[in-house]
Parts: sequence; structure tokens; C-alpha cells
Amino acid sequence: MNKVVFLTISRQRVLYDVENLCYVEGDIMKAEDEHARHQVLDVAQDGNVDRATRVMDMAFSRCVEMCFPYSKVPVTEAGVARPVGERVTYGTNVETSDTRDGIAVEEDDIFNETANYIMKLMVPEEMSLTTLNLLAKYVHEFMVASVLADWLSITKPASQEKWERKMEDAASQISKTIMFRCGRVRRTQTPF
Amino acid sequence: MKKTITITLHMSEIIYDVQNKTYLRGRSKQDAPADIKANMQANDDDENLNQVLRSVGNAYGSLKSALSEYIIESGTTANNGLHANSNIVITLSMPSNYNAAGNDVVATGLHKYIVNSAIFDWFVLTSPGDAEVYAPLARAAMGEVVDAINRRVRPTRTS
Repeated sequence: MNKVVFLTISRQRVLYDVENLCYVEGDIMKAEDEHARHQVLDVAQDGNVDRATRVMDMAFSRCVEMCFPYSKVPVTEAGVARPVGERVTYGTNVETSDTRDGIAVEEDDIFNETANYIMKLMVPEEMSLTTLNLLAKYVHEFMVASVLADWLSITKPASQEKWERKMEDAASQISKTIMFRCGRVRRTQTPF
Repeated sequence: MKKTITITLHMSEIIYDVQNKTYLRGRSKQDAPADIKANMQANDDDENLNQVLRSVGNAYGSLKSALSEYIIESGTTANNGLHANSNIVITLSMPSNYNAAGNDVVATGLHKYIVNSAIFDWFVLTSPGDAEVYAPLARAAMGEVVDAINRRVRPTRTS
């Protein structure tokens, strides 16, 4: 029997980690160019933070998609399961309406900030809570690395590749972790 | 949230500093003829004061350009008027992670930049050999300002 679980990722905590790491990236830059340095550091400042939010949204959507076997939402249900006031169980601003010809799904790119990113998963009961705990940490790490890879591609291209690699590592870990099980191992009584 | 920093540069202090420095520079030129020394020393006579005010105005314009990233003005008009009794007020809208420890450096750096620029302009007219000393000083002061204005503090965890 499957169980519904929610993974909640705090936007503020992701942003803090991004800011903190950008501070370190900026701190190790050469002192001659303070202007270039402050652009690295100002990732969470007015205007810049909007780009970070867009990338966070995209990274989260990618995480949801990576957990596809457990996060998928049939088109007929789209828009129903979204908690009020919260982004997003399966995408951004999904709306549906029945039409005579079938299901119309509408997506938009309206910008807004959410306090929490919430992932709804329908997991088999053999899945361990420890696995979900690890999964949440990898999702957080993936979002942080995604924002850093994007922001540093603009402000400090030399560091971009490093964070892109971390991002892909986290993505790979998410894909592996989601397959962990703690179900019983059935040993056959006979080799035949 | 943005931090608003208001820096007031008193015109009386700027003019006094220009006059004092040009006076001391003139006095220290022991071998120069008396009329050259006298011409180097800026004073409150109209033609002297107006020239210094014009230089201060030019330097102020350069400063605003250098700090434009942080200056918010919505005016649609500008003029070239400047008076000896009008102070220079610069309001900077800084990002929330700006390091406020640099406020004093910014204020003194702005003062130094304006004074050294004005002295450079003054000596270009009255003692060209001395002018060369003040251009690098003005550039260094601007460098100090830009350096301090771009300083940031480490983010703090809120929860």
C-alpha cells in the first residue's frame, strides 16, 4: 500500500546557503576588483534575488520530475492537490479545467516567492523514513548548487563548472536515493 | 531591505581645506618668487572662490557618476549652480549586506576626492608643476570610496 509523504524545502534556508557560499566565493577573489566581488556577494539583494528565485523554482521542478515514479500527477488531477498559499507539488501554477474535447492544462510563468517548496510523493510502504530524510537533503543541495551555478556563470564564470558538477552529483544522488527500499528480502528455499 | 546612508559634506570645510592646503603648499616653496606663491594660495576673493566652487561642482558630478549604482534620484532637471553656503548631501541606497563599517571611509574619501580634484584644477591654473601631485591623490581617494562602498558583511542565519 502506498503512502503520501510531503518533503518541505524552506526557500529561506536555501537562500541563506546560497548567500553564505557566495560570500566565500567572493571572499577568495583577488582584492583588486571590489566591484566584481560585490556582484558575487549580492546574490540575494533586490533584483538579483528574483533570478535566484527563478532558478530555485526550476531546480525544484526538476527534482520533482526526478522523483517521477512517486511524484507524478495525472493530468486529470492537476491543480487539485496544490496546498493553498504554497508552491508546488508538481509544477508552477498549474490550472486545469474540463472541456468537452478533453482536459485543458494551463501553465503560466507568473513570478512569486513562496516560503516553502513542497513535494508530494506517493511512496511504497517499504520506503524508509531515513531515505526520505536523505532525499530532502539532496534536494536542498541540488537547489543550492543550481542557483550558485547559474549566478556564478554571470558573476564569476571560473567557478561555474564546479557548482554545475555539484549540481549534477546531487541530481545523480536523488535518482539513486529514490530507489532505496527497506522491504523484506525473500530467499527462495531452492535454487531451482 | 536597503540601507539608506546620508552623507553631508560641508562646503565651508571643503573650501577651507582647499585654501589651507594651497596656502601651505605655497608657503613651502621657498625658492619661488613671491607673486607665484601668492597666486598659488587660494582665498575668498570672488574670482578665486568661484573657480574653486566650479571645481567642486565638477568633482561632485564625477562622484555621482561613480556612485550612480547606489544613488536614487528622480529629478528631471539639473543645473550647474553651486553656492559657497550650500552643503553637498549625498544619499546612498545600499544593499542590506553593505558593511556599514565603511561609512566613515566613504565620507572622508568623498571629502578628499573633492578637495584634491579642486586643488588639481587650481594648480593647473596657478602652478602646473604642482598639479601633477594632486591628480593621483584624487584617484586614490576615489579608489578608497569605491572599495568601501563595495564591502559586504557575511550573511546571518535567521532561524
